[in-house]
Amino acid sequence: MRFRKIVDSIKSGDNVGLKHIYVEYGPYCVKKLISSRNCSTHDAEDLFIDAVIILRNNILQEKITDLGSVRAYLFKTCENIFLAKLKKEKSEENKHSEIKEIYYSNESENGDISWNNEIVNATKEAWSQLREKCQDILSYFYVDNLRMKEIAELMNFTNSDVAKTTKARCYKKFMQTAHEIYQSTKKSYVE
Amino acid sequence: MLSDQDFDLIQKFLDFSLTKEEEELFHSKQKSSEDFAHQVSFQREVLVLFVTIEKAKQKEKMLVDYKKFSSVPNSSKFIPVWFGYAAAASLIFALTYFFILRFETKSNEELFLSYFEPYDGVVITRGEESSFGQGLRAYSDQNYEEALRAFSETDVDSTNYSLLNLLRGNCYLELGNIELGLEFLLLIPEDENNLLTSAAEWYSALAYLKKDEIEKSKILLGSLIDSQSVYSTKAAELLSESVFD
Repeated sequence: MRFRKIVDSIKSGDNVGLKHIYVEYGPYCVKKLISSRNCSTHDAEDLFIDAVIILRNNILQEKITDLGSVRAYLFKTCENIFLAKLKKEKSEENKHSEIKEIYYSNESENGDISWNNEIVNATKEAWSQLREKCQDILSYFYVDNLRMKEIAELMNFTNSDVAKTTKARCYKKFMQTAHEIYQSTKKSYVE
Repeated sequence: MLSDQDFDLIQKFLDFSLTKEEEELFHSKQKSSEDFAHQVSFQREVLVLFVTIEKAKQKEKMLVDYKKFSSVPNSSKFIPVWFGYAAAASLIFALTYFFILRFETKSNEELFLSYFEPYDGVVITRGEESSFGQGLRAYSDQNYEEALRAFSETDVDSTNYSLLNLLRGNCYLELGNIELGLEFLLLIPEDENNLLTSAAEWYSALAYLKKDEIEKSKILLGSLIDSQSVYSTKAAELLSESVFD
């Protein structure tokens, strides 16, 4: 399967391109990581999936449109992640940074993240109550970091303004539901 | 209860898309309204949580898929003392597996034979004297060794590149050299405007089937079904065989 087809498959949201990557490049990268970096199979597979996620996101964000060798790109990415993790492990101060980095590295108020169960449950419950379309648009925007133009193309909206309005509506619904669930759980604890 | 305007303001703040004026309004509201400030921190937490959960779920799903579609041997850096016993057990297992595999191979072989027909979209021009022409004629006469000889002397250019590799691939499949056949078939570029791409995918799928690389074959067959080419029906039919379950 040529790279163009992998790109088309990933952009269309089907699994064929990813499956091809797993079958064609997974065993090579994993074996090579085991031998060259002394990784366990579990860690090597983990690194490989991280590299695939990066490749997938770069394709979705159109940062990559062509690649000479997918295998070389994936292995190089695995190595970079491995080295970055090694560096991170050495620095004790970065204990919780992974979660913070995902979103607001500088915005954390008390320097630590302590989620309580009520918020976790409210988030999960509110998410499960959202319509699939809303889940998709919020995932594309916040998890995959796609721009509105790309989301509009992926979800067949007429333009990015429609995608933006839909996303705003879904966001509001998500937050309102989460807050309602959170408040009712807190109330039931007090009672 | 937040107004729609306040909701938009918080959402824009969390999306890093506030304008200068909105930013001022946001900060003043955060200072003056406790409810607003509470909503900002609540929504921020929910968002971070949601992103973290979704990313973890996404990775977990990909790992499951990866394990399903690939098989990598476990790393073993030390030889344990019970290695001898394990080796004996493995030998018994290997012998059992060998017999099972023989049946599987046979069944793949049968499938290959019932679906494989050499590519027949060859047009020979009268008076064609080039080695390519000779190869085409030999191929049509089912003289695959002679066809391969003639094709190996053919000058490759962009006009004959795909067809030449498709036919060489087919010759090798016919002669039972699946590895070499596959090598030539995989040289054919994937291009939706290239009519031979589907043919290359079809014959590669068959070659993988014969090599017992079922997952690779499955992926190609899936792609052929999606492509709605002349091979789609045959691909769907082959994919419904129990070997792909």
